[in-house]
Amino acid sequence: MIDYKDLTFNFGDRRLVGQSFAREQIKRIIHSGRISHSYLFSGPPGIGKTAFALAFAELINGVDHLTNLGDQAFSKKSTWFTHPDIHVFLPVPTGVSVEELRERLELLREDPYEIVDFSLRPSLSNEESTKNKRAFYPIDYFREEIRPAAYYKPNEGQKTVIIMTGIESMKKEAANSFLKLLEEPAEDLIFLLTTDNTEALLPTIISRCQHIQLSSLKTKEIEQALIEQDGVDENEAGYLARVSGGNYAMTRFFDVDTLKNTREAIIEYLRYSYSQDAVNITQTAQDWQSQENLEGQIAILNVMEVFLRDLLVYRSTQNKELITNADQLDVIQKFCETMNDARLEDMIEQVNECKPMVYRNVQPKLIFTSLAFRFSSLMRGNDPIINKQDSWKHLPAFSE
Amino acid sequence: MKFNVSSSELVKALSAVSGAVPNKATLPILETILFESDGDKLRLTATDLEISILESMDADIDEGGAVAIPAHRLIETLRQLPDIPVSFQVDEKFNIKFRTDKGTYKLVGEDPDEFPEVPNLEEGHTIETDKGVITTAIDKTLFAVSNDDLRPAMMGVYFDIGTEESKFVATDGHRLVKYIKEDLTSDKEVDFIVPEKALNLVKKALHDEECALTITEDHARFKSGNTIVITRLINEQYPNYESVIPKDNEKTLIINKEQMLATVKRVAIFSSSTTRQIRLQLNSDQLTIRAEDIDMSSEAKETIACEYSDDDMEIGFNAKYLADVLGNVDDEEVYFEFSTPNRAGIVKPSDEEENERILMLVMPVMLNTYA
Repeated sequence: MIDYKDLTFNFGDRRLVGQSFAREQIKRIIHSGRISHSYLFSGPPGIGKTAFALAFAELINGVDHLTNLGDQAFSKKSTWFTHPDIHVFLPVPTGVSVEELRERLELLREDPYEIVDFSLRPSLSNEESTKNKRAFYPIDYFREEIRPAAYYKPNEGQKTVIIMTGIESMKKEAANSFLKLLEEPAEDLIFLLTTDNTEALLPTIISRCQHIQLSSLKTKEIEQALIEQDGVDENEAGYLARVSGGNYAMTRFFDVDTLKNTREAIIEYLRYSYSQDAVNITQTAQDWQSQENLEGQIAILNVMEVFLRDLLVYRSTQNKELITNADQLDVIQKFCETMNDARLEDMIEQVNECKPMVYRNVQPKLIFTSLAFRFSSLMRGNDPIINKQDSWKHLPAFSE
Repeated sequence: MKFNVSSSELVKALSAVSGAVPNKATLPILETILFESDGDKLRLTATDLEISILESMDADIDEGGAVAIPAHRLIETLRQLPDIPVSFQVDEKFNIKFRTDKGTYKLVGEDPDEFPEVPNLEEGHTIETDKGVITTAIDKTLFAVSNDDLRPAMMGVYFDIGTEESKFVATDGHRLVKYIKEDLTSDKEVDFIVPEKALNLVKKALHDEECALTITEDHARFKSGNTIVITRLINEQYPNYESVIPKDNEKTLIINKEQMLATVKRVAIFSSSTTRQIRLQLNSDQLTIRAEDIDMSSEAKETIACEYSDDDMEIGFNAKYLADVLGNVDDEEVYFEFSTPNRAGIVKPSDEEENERILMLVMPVMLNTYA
């Protein structure tokens, strides 16, 4: 048996971003030598829950990869990927092939912050694909792949570690079946579960896990990681980090030029909203629906939120040091002059309300059109014409 | 690493281990075969994490080392070659170059450290036996193994090796086989469950006459000549099968096996496709087998002669299970034992070989005439 108490390490020092509190927690768990049989890592999307679980699994089995173990490593394997006792599962769409899954796991091996979720990234070869796939843990997948992995004792490692990401997507049947495994775990078996929505889990699953909450990443942490790990230019990293909305994994995909183009389009969109230019609003909303995939639409809303925040900050402080979009200072000044009564807080709130709607597959064109409509009133300091309780009135008349 | 081998020898060794290479695995290293030098021998290893097969072969080794080579491409290439010498050369980045007088071939290998470790069974308990015993035991029992993963214990054959005799048991809850071998003994009692897939591979892999069986808590190893098969065991409690074998069976039936099997198969065609139910009507010295399919309005009835002198009885069986059991009898005459229509029927060969006994059991199905 390995005596975990004697290990000296800095958990996840090779790759993990931020999370100093949770990382200390893991360190304490390892040093206490009492590793529980299941952990639940929760936190907002893109903060590295999977990376965290992978690093933990490697540490338990002594793989020198995400954590620098130096000559204390007690496994010869180079990463978790080739370790026969570390099994990683993702929610899958129906009819997924082993090759598709393997491709995604290989991406994760390259970088634990890669986005491999089928619903966020339906196709690896065609990044533009906007086709959304529903991914979950089908009961067959659970029975044929996950459960057998749990039956066997470790091949060569200390523990068999089963990592299941996004377990909120588990349907009731699979969850109940899983519960049996979780309740009566075999010796030497550890489950590491991740979720960004603990509300959607069966309470019985939560109560059987040690819950470790990961915190949102700070802008500084993201900026630093972008510079150090992803080689992003220092000037751009700051801007990217501020528009990231705390989602590091997604921010790595952002391209500064595209973002700046998006910002141009957003500024235009705000102008159209103010002038109630229905033709152009419809056109912009249509473009955003057809040209962007889900991540893109969320990015638009994030950039919009940051821009509105800048307006708010500048209007109250007149301090150009505090704003993100410093290069657009003249635009911001002009906006602030013309829209003195604009209810910017309310507008930001509106933007934030739209994000979950995008995830819930509300038609993006409808979201952006209604948003513009509401903005047009708020920018003039009035209440939106359609109030919140009657939001169904935004629905276009059904003509056919 | 550098070595020279004959292509046909290598193909033979590769085919022996390739049974353990999974077709599709999320872990790509499993699709490779580990080559290791061991003195003047070359050791090949393949594993799917459940079952590992090791084969050692003679080779002319110029420089020791190890590498994991992609299995399918290597086997395909070598199969297409005539029997000629092949020389392999592996550099420190695990690029493999092999040369024959036909040409040169290049492959990218993997770091041998990434290959899963093969379990060490040095502390295990070893039993010396021979190939015949193991393969017969497997052949006799394998058909009854369950594939219901809710009861993992029954998904393998139960080996109960005692100091006086050894038992091999398989059951899926509908039928059961107990095969007893009296001349296979061990100085220490051991019992374990071997998964079905492993037994299929063991059957194919055993070449030499002798066979050594080594057991540890989690693994079993079958070693025969140059081949070693290591399998993980099913870590479950085997059900108490003795309690389902009825003890006092006063009714006995002796019948020609081929005749009965043919009848069961013919009549079964007319049974309901969902239940596969057939009825056996036992009267003095005659057996009537009937089946009916109400949905299709079809029925069949055949009567065959047998030796039976007890009270008349009617008992129902699933035709598939009954045919499987009958097919597994190596004798001209089959010996049935019954007690009541709601208790299991026991099937044995009427004449048994020395040192071995076999008992099979089929659960009856309820016939609606009881009520």
